[in-house]
Amino acid sequence: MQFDYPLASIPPEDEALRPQIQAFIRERIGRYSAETRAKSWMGFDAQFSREMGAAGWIGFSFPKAYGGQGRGPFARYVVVEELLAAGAPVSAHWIADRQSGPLLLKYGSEVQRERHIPAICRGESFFCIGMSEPDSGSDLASVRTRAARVEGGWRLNGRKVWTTNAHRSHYMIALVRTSGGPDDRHKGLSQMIIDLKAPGVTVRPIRDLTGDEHFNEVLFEDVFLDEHAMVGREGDGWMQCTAELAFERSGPERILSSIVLLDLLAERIGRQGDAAARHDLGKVVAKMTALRGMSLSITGRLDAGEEPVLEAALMKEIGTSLEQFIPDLALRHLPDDEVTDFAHEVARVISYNTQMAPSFSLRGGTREILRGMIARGLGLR
Amino acid sequence: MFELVQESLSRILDDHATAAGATADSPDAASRLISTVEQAGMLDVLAGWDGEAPPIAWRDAADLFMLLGEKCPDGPVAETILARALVSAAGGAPVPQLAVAASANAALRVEQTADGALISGTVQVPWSSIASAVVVPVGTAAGWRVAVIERTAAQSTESGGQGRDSRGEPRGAWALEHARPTQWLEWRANDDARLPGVAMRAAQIAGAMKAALALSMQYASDRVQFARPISKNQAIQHNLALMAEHAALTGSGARLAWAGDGLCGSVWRVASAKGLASDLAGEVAAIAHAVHGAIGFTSDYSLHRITRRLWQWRSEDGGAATWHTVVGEQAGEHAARRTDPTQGLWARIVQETSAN
Repeated sequence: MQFDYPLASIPPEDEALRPQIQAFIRERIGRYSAETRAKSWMGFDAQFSREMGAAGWIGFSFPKAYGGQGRGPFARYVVVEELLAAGAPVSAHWIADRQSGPLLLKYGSEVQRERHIPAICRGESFFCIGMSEPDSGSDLASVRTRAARVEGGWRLNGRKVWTTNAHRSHYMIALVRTSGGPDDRHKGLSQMIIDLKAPGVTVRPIRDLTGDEHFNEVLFEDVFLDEHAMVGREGDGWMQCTAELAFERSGPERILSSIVLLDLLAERIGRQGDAAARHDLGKVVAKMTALRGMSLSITGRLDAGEEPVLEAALMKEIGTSLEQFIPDLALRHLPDDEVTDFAHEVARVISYNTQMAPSFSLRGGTREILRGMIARGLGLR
Repeated sequence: MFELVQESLSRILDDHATAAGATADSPDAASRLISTVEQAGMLDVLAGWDGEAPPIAWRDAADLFMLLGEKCPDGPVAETILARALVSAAGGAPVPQLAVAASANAALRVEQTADGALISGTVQVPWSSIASAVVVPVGTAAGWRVAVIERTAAQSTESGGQGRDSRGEPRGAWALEHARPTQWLEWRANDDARLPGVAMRAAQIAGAMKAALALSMQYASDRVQFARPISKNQAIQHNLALMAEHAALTGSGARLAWAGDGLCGSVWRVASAKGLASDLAGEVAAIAHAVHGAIGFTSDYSLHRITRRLWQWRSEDGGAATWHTVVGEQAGEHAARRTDPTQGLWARIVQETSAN
């Protein structure tokens, strides 16, 4: 049984980026209300993403040859945590920057890299991920969307669901079956790049319970994919997906989804809260403090070429539970009218955060699945 | 260096526990353990005498105290190591073998006389029946001091419960009536001399959580009911995962508390660590007992050695209420004063967790 979080520090040259990204944020964040900023990394603003791209803040860890900054994971960490802490609307370029770009750099062909990476870095090309299907959620290996080999490429048929931003992205990278059958499970799955403007692709936004549309259902009917659509080797799709998990589950985005609300509450508690409120605030802040230590630790291990999958799952679990608790802090310590009367901005932010909170432990691996995985990883089964 | 110390100390503690067997928690066995640890050169592992650097840097002390929490020896190993660490860091002279660090007591009174400070009040001394001196932080108007007070200077001493008659580890009250310390040392200006003791408890709790988890996992894998190990039960898996989460978070907090510059000088880090450790200790103990069923509740089975310490340590050196409130006050103050959109709570957390 092993899980370990050796302490890590951000190197001084990466820490030096902090004032620069803060200046970039300070110049622009005034455009956005607290309600908009409360959307965190679900807040979509194509213009903001283009400005980030133009200023070189996207693709920080991508090689300079493709338009990136050639920096390491700690440099990106500094940039991302500042953006998220301020509630900057990073959604448009988020997936491309966090995973699609790194995927193509690690497993993609030169053609794919040249076609996509520079545009990602400019903040002009937005990606989404096609994983879940109506009958495949936690059991991702059961996906049935199929790419059949045809002359010059593949023909794609099937359906993806819960695809964030499919309605306003340029490309999807989808996990699909390319050989074998459902009983082959992890074997025979590949990831394919799909142009969302291609004939046969139909995107239908799904409204979530807050009234926002960021989810989608995407239907593929005989969509033609050319020779350059497949990422890496046929059948490597599952391996590619799981290789990303330690990275995706350990970043500041698993701690900071409710930070805008927390900052509003902390200000009130600081000004007029009682001892009980300060106690509860202190507990939240203590957890966030220890969580940052864990997050940095995992980043350090990723930087060293390790794959701390168990540690990342643990951290995500703790982080998302904390994110979900933040609205409770409001209920315990704010006067009722500040929670119920929408004339108060804080009431609107509390309402939004509360309603979004269930999704924090659904996305990126549900709590129940992760806990079983953690138990296994500890050596239990 | 640190790995060698960990290995050596582990072996000493394991050997002692095996050899001492049923009498492990007797005063004699406790004294013998300290002698063994001293002979191996380990009592000074965090002590730098005469301005020398200690064999292990304080920033690595979390893992040492986590190991001690995990092994939970029946003797004041942690407290004697801390006593020497405190006294040497304050520029003091070597102390007796069984000088034991005690938690600060805000009610201790200091009388400044022509011949120096005299201390009155009660100190709860770990392993009181074998302790020859106590090392305790004392607050004064001029700043924190570290006092070394011999047993003979106490008005009276209680041995405190031992073994199964105690809360976990034995604590005996020493009543001090104008007691003259043999050493009266200034702590670093503007630093709180209680914090190393607080950070030690946080690390011990983190280690004990790890031990509770390991024992529970082993039990769940071994215990067969309904023709299969109870580890197959999903509720048990979830609860063990939750235990692991608590242990990991507490461990991270404890490491942060000892790392960074200085002598556990960050109130934010230490308060966060102890607040979390104190808060989560109870749930870890509860899950461990739930997984073990009735056997875990017996005196013979070893689980109580861990859980009674969790329940004891969580309230010593300040409990969750105390330390969460300290963090909350600082956080609230920061938030109330904020004018820059890039300087919210996270910015403060970044500052506090930067140098590791």
